[in-house]
Amino acid sequence: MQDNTPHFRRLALLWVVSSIVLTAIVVFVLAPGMPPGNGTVQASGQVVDNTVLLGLSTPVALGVLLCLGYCLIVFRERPGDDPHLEGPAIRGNSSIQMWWLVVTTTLVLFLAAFGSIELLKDGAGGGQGPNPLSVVGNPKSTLQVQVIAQQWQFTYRYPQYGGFETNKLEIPANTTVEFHVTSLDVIHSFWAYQLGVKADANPGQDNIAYVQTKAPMNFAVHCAELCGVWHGYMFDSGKVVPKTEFASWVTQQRKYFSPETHLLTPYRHTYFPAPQRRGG
Amino acid sequence: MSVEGAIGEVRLPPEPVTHRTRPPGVATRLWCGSVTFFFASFLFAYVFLRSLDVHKDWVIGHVEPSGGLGVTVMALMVLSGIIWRIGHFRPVDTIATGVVAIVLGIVAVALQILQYTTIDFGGASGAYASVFIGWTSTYILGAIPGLYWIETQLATLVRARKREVSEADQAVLRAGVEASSFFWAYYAAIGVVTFIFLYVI
Amino acid sequence: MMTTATAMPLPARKPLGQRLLGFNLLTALILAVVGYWIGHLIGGAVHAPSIKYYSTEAGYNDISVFLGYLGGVIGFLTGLGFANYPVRRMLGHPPDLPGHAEVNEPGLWKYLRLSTDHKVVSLQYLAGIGIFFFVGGLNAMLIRTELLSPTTHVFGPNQYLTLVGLHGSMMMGMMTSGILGPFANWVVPTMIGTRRMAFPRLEALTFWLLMSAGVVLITTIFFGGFQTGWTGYEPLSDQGTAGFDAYVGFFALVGMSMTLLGLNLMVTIITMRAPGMTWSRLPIFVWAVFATCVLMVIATPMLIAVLLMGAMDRTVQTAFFEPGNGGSAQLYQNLFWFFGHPEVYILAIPGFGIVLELLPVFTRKPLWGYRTGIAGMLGVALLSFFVWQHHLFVSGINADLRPFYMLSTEMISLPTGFTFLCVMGTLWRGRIRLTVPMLFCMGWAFNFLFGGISGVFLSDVPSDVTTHGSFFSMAHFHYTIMGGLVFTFFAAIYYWGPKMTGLKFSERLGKWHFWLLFIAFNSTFGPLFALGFMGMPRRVVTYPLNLQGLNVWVSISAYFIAISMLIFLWNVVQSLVFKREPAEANPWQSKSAEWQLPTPVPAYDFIEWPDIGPDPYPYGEPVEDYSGAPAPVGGAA
Ligand code: HEM
Ligand SMILES: [Cu+2]
Ligand SMILES: [Cu+2]
Repeated sequence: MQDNTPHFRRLALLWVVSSIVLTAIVVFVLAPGMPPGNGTVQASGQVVDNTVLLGLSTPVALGVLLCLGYCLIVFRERPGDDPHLEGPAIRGNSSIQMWWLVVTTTLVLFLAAFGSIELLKDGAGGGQGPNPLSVVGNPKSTLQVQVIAQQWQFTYRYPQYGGFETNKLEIPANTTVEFHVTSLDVIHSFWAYQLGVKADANPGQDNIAYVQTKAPMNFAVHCAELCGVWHGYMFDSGKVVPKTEFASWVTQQRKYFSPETHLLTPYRHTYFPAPQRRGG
Repeated sequence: MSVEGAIGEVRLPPEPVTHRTRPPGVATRLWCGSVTFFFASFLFAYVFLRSLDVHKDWVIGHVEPSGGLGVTVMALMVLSGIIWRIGHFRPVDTIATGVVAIVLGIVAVALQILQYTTIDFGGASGAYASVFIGWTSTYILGAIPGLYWIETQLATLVRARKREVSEADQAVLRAGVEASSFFWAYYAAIGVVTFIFLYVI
Repeated sequence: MMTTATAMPLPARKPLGQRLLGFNLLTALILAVVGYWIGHLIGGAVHAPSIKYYSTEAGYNDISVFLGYLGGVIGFLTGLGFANYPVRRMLGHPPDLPGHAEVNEPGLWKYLRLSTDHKVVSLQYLAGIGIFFFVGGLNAMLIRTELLSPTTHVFGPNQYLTLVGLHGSMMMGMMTSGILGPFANWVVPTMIGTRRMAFPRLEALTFWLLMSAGVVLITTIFFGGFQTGWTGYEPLSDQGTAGFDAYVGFFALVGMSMTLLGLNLMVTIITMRAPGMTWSRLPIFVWAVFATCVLMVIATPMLIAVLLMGAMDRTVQTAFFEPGNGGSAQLYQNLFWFFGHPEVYILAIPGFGIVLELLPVFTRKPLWGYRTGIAGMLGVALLSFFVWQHHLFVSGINADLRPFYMLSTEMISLPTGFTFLCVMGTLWRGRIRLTVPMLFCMGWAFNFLFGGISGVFLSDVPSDVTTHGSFFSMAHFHYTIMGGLVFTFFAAIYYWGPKMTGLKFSERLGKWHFWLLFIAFNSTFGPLFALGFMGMPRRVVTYPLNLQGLNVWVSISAYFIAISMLIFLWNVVQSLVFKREPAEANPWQSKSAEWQLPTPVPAYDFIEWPDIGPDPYPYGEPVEDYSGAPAPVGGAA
């Protein structure tokens, strides 16, 4: 039985056409709505990453799906076919295998390089540990905010403003913010969704994440690491406000909390919990 | 041999002897891989916590396990491992070396327990103390099945002296001795690594 | 001296009363309870009253709980008869092989005892894992029921988290052996040409260890549950009461079972292949099992070690993970994921093996790219040791190494891609028969494709900053595990089930099962990608109101998954209990060794191993004009 239909060419054509159409749709229609939005430089960076990933994975997924679908439809054994008929005993094709390896390797290396560049450029909003590799912005004009997680709430300290501690998070627009995330008990994770920031809060450790805000907006804060019974309730919200508004807010807060601030532990990067139990 | 199977009486060709002689040795080598990774976790904990020592609590207070006992335990384990391995290579001496190896091993276990009664710190005395207690106790606990294994080999050999043993069965017995001696020697080597990290470095 | 594993006459059957007194499940359960109380009492006697144990608040001390579990498991295994052989060996009896003429016994009695026949153990595994799979599935339904509303309405937060933890641990712990336990134990010996596993007693032990593990996990509900999810992160778990001890005991037992299962299978494959069964002639499923076993033997001991450290923190007051006393929470994360990532490939690779093994049968073609497929699975196994910190991208630990872990993680998609290439190559120009097992294989291809692609998002650090710890990652791993492993698990049941049980399954119900599961699965977990992107964290009992619509959709779809499972259950019950229609010996016209055995399979499997020739996949019409085809497998013509 010789089948001379140009299956491969047909499939390839189908793939090229549908890839172009679908990738265009994905990149131009779907991608702009990708999370976490364009509220900050880091968030935009993530949208770019998501767009690139979506754009590249669309043709890949389509290729595999079309091939599967094509085979299942075209090469199906139909009712009434001679059950003794078998397929051709093809055991491989070294040039296809080579090309597959070359193409996928190229894709992977490109993705890894691209992701690394995107990451190192501005930290991508992720926690970078105590000694960040990508320092963003001018350290002089950077606003430092310490995020202290504990079961089950976040509080925030502003060391450049006397180190007061508040349960409200406000940051100025068009500013680089340096979050210092730490925990007093178990592992939490500070996730400011619209800012594109996520950094684990580890007990006894400082974890730094940068964000460069743009226009004023509101954002949601969640704890993103299971931290006990009330983990689901450990959420919060914050605001990016115009610089002048931030200035007056921070002065007001500083004054409001001044009776308590000097009672707090002096500002440190970590507040190490005292040994919880028994001695040696 | 016959079996009352679903299709009546059948004769089965005998199984190759290698099916009984090769598995113990191969399994032991793989098992040594598992054991290595098991103790590698403690090694990892050691290196990780020591390098992390941000709050200077690698050692809290006075933490000094007796080095003399430590070195003795290690030396006994190494001696035991070497002797039993030699015993495997010299069939005439296997039983004698096995007895010596077991005695040395038991003394090692006993001395380790003795050491625990002399230490004046607990697990909460810093990271080193934790790793020390965790690593040595699992190590010495793991030695006990090893000793049991040697014992089964000896018991079998002693019994086998009293009766006719076919060549194939002889090979099976030797395979068991080989496997246990390999394991035991390897375990002693892990003991050396344990010692180096916990006492020397 | 016996020369074969199976040659033993069937002893006369004893009356029921006498049988109940011997070593069996009943005795085992009684001894388990006795052992538990002995352990518990010893623990009560040796614990230091001055110390505040983690579970003190609940009125326990961790030492007695752990010793209770230990005693219980020892009692259980002794009751089954596992202690007999070690004691005999201690007394100097020569090594021997267990006989297992009981395989020929009619009835269920043989499944309720220690059996060392690989066919019986496989069915024990299948039933045992199946039960826990349904328990885990039931937990999932309860979780989804709670998530119907954005606030708590059915369960409190503690119960909810316990359910999530139970579901996750149960599934991860049990399904890791989901293919190796029931299917590799059955077919690997036959495929490589032997009648038994290298260590038949060990084979049985792995099964009973797994069962005791499952029971230990369920006892957590008597101790207040645990709130840590399946990952058991420290130091949160240090706040856990005795319920967390159940988690530790569970995973430690699962770890032992897995290590020994892997070891046994690996030794069998290395040492017991029939003459002429060279490595390059092994069916690809055997290769998949082998690659998986490498991971099991090497990675799982680290799980046992890390759990032991945790247990020591809870009992003898060490401070491995306790930040206050020199320990580190991130030590736990590192050690856990050093095991945890290979673990997820322990789940995935057997699935690859099933798909590649079944495709030639249902396309009537040889496997396309045999060597590529093997390289893929071994490559995945190797790479999986170098990626674990992708679970810690935002944790702040070794942040400078993230580009490396990003690269290594994305590299895993290369060998995984090989599997897909082999699938497509095998389908190409085949004569495809869409039987039920084949449908499940195609379901795997569809689901795993999305699982893999979403994995690339998670491995890209900037993208992971948003998706980490969100429902996106939840959707990702369900696509790979549920859509990948579980689909192949069912493929294997429908494919080998008739041979293993000797009975026929309903094709029609099988198709219903597949289509309902496939659609409901995608409709359940597809929207979770969106939910994650929209900012819903994992393991939360409450969520923002605007996400309710999607969550309700997901929950309702999940109920349809449950319905599809009920159809499956009905299919099984109908075939095994009511209809009992004998299966044909080779309904799929397969050419691999296990299908050449008669059905029902006799105790001794085969007299002469079926001569299946040098080629594991001798399907298809020869083609002359095909250029570039490599030499036939094994180089033998
Ligand atoms: C029957 C279909 C299933 C449904 C509807 C389902 C649903 C869920 C849900 C709702 C969660 C909790 C999500 C959260 O709040 O974080 C979850 C978690 C999980 N599931 Fe499933 N699941 C199913 C099958 C499976 C299977 C087959 C496996 C693995 C073999 C699995 C493994 C897990 C794991 C490991 C977790 C994580 C638990 C944790 O966060 O600690 N699930 N699943
Ligand atoms: Cu939290
Ligand atoms: Cu991973």
